[in-house]
Amino acid sequence: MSALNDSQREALMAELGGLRRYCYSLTGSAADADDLLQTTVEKLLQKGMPEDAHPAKWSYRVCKNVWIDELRSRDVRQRYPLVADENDESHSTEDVADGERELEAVSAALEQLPDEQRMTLTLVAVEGKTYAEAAEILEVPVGTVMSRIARARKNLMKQYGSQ
Amino acid sequence: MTMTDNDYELLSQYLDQELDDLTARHLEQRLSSEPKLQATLNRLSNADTRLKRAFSGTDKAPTHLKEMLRPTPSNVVAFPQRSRPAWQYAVAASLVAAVGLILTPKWQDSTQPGPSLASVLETTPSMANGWKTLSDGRDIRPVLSFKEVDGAWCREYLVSVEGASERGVACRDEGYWKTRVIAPTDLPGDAADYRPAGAGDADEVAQYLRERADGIALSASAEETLISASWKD
Repeated sequence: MSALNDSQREALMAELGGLRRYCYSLTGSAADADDLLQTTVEKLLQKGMPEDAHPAKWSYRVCKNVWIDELRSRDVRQRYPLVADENDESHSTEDVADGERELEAVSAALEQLPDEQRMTLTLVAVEGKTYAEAAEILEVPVGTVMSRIARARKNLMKQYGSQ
Repeated sequence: MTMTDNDYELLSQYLDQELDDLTARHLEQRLSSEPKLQATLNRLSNADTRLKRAFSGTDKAPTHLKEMLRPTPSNVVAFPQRSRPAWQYAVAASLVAAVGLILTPKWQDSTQPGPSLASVLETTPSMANGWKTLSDGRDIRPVLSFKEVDGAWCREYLVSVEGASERGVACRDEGYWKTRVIAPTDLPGDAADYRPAGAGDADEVAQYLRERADGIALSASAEETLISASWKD
């Protein structure tokens, strides 16, 4: 596998916003999301990707693998303590406060889900991936995606109910 | 009637538009006759909406990560004739030759706040001395602006980091600054110490300027006007 070529770089740049959002949904905070995204980008630059790989799917898969590595190798929440996002911009103070509170609440509910459910649900419900795309990214059968998402939604509703 | 796991899967696939038409129609019939099923679908749908809305503003990737992915420029571009005598290019080239840097790799390492190389080239007038420190710790000094023979606006710059140095030329291409040529070089000292490049100077950047510049570098006022206009002439 060679270094990223220019068209792959451009395709990844186009995915960066979605990837960052996915990182946020996995980690639950802006600082952690940026760390995860940076590690993902560094990995992509170091390892490259096959010429025939789909850049979006490939980058989400790398992101997912980086996150799983983190979960396995250390206590992520200790390593990445929650830090307020200092970079969010351009809304009224009231809007920002409401938005941040809602984001914290939803992130807290997501955090209660098993990791594989959270990774799957956000890929589909937030990132808009199809089940087939999510299956490819997560390297699991489509049937597994279906059942994970259904369980994730069911569990999420319970979490919302308890908030 | 109790909701089964299969019901949740069906509702979930329905929300995600993953059901085939026949199964979807069958489910819609059930929804019209099973209030609890419909209520559950509504709750799932609301939960999805809440999820999407909550994360809608979290897609702003840090600028330095975009810089890391920005396509690396291929070498070589053209250099149009403008309004400065050729010897000024030689002088500038020798100035540049005096500096240098490890462009791409270090560019990819930026983790601290600060401007990017592109933003410095976009907004900072050429300087005879002094440096702008980038987010990745490198120092950069734009030294010259000119037009390439194919019409792109370009800037010659010096870069220095951790004792290594380079000089390069970057041109504005569809809104992005892309390096056309970059050459490692020794950093002899302040710009004031640099001597004009000689006729036999084989430096890559000097050669690039000779071959691709449109003749004359921009005056300070012309450069200032272009910077104010975001390099749109």
